Amino acid sequence: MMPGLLAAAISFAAFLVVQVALFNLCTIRRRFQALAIMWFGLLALYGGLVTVLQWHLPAHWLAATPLETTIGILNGAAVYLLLFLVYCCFYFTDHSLTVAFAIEFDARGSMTRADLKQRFPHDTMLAQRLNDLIANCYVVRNGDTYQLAPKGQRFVAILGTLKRFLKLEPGG
Amino acid sequence: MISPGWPELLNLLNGLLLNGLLLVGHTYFFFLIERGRSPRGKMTIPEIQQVYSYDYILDKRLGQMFKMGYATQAGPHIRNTAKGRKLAAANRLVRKILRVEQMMP
Repeated sequence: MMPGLLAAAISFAAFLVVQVALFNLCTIRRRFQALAIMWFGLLALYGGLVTVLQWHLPAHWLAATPLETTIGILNGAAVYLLLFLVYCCFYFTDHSLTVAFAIEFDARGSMTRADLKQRFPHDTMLAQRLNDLIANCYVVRNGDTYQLAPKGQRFVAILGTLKRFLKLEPGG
Repeated sequence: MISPGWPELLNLLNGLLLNGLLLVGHTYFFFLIERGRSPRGKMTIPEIQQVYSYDYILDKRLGQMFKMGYATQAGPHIRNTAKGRKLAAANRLVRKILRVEQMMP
């Protein structure tokens, strides 16, 4: 298990370094796509590192059987994948109202609901969200009207099923 | 020297790590579903504003901030608590390092 975990930790650290460098040097338009490509690229590094570590780590750090070795490699890959997904959850908080409000309260001391509505106008906020949905092929725009694209329809079908299954509120 | 119990300890830590990562991922996914709304056919921005009222959004989000201890309200004025200030400072730092600009939320 140790080679997989070490390789996952090193690969994820490399992912962070590459991401910070790339996002500081270039203007990235489709950020999730860029992050996913980096992750896939560094999956090769994970594979290489696991192989190298299998050869160079002390014997008592290695798995005893081929089955344990395979489980260790898959476990490391799962850790590398989960670290990436959790990192994305934190990275994309730039759309979070809670974080935006907290930053704004911090800058101004205090705000009323009217201040919030003025700082974050509803129509501008919706237009931004809709532009994101259009850029990611979930929604199409025809003049002033917006409607779901096939990708959006599939997403809404899954979302609706899960919401009904989990008995959640309408949302918002 | 590594003690004889190290594989058990490593397994335990590995399990805890996987559990923690799955919990965080699931929580994010849960709120993504919970906050999503399904549109009906073709809609204009004013029609979306009617369905997706700003007062409802503010009630929900501010209510959660109060409940989770990030903000407090005195009369009409809403301000950060110490926990809210930490959230704001941490996010400002991360955004600076990662060059993330505040999107219109």
